[in-house]
Amino acid sequence: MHTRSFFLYVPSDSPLHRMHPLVKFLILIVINVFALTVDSPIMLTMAIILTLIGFKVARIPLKKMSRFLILIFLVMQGITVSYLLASRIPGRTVLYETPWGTYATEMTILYAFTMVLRFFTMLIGSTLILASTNDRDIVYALRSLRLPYAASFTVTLAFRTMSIFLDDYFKVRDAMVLRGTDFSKGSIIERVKKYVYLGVPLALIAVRRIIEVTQAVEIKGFKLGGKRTYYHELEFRRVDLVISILTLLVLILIFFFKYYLQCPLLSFPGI
Amino acid sequence: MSEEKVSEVEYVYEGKIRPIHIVMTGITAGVCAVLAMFAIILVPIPGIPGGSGLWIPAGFYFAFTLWFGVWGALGGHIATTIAMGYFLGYTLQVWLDGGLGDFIAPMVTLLIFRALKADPELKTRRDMAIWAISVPLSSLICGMWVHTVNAYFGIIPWGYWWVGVVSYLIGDSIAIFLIATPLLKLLSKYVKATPAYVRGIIS
Repeated sequence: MHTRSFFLYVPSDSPLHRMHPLVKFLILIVINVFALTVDSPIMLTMAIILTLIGFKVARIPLKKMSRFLILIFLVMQGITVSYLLASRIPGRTVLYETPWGTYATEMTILYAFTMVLRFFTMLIGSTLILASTNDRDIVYALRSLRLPYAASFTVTLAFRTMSIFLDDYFKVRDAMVLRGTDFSKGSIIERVKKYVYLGVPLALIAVRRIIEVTQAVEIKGFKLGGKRTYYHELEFRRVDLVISILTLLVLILIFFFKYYLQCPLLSFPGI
Repeated sequence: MSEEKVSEVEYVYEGKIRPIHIVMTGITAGVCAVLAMFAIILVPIPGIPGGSGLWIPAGFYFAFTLWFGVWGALGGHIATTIAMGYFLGYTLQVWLDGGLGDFIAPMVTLLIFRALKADPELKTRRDMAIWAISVPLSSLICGMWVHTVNAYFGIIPWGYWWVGVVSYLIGDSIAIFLIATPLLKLLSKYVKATPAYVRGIIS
């Protein structure tokens, strides 16, 4: 059966897929905090390699990352250019100085590269976790956090609305085209105006849908509070508890080594 | 209305927060998420991660926030997180940067409107003036937040911070004025006549 998912989910039967979604979210947060805390290019590279190994273990094809390639390239370009033009990172050789007082050294290039590694670590770490978690499990993870049911219902409704709204957009656009609107002709201002006129019926449809869906949920006895039962129950196993503890331990150790012991391995060289 | 309990359904409406508020958040999130993806695809800014030259959803979630209160702003927050994450990965930076930023921005305008008792229909000069001032102010505050987060995560150097803030202020304000102004002028009267309209911040 095809599993439709918004979040890159790849069905598989790996240890990562079997993990409780709450544990996966914890790992996601720790990966991001690790990338933010550590600014050593070597440690970030090791984290990337470990994450790529994780893709292999979870049997998730690396081509899932292909969607991000163009934007990764743009981000790398943006980070590099902004550091080369607007930073003052001391190094052995000043490559050039700008008229506005910033300069670039060999350490500027290394630091920009480190920031690209940071971004990439967060990106592939998040992709690995979300590729092993389907939309339903994301909602169940929110519920496991003891958040009100309304929070997970909101997220589910947002996903559903996205595909419905896309249909509405094409319907309204086609209706306008049939009435003689040509979105490709005219100056940029005229084209923007046409798209703005397209927005008015779409906003109206959204408001009407709010009222209709509210009537539907109220008829079905939707309540904000109270106890609910669920069709799927996800068990928090002993192995999930062990992994959670180990993950938190890793986080504590990172902070301990970085800020208390000031271990140079976790910092940018020279800082 | 009789106070005698007729059925359980009557008691669904107790309290300030009602099911319609949750539905508003979900639907505005879904609508704005699609618009955000369009904005990133159609008008990207090379070098600005997940950025767009015309942030189309801003016009919508500003209007939704003035109509639906905090629920519209929450919808914008969820939408931006979903859309930016779709292209840049669901990272802490994306959530703090785009997601929270797009909650803060419309909330500033909402708080100004409610505090000064301005009408989202923008009928009078006073309402238009409040709108004209609150939008760039919101964009400025949001731009400062977004680029502080970006600098803290190392995506941009601190020396680039003010460049990002100014470009954010201009780009966001243009998008909001272009898109939200006609939405507010044309649809506010209709929305105010529906049970969806939120007079305060939460209800």
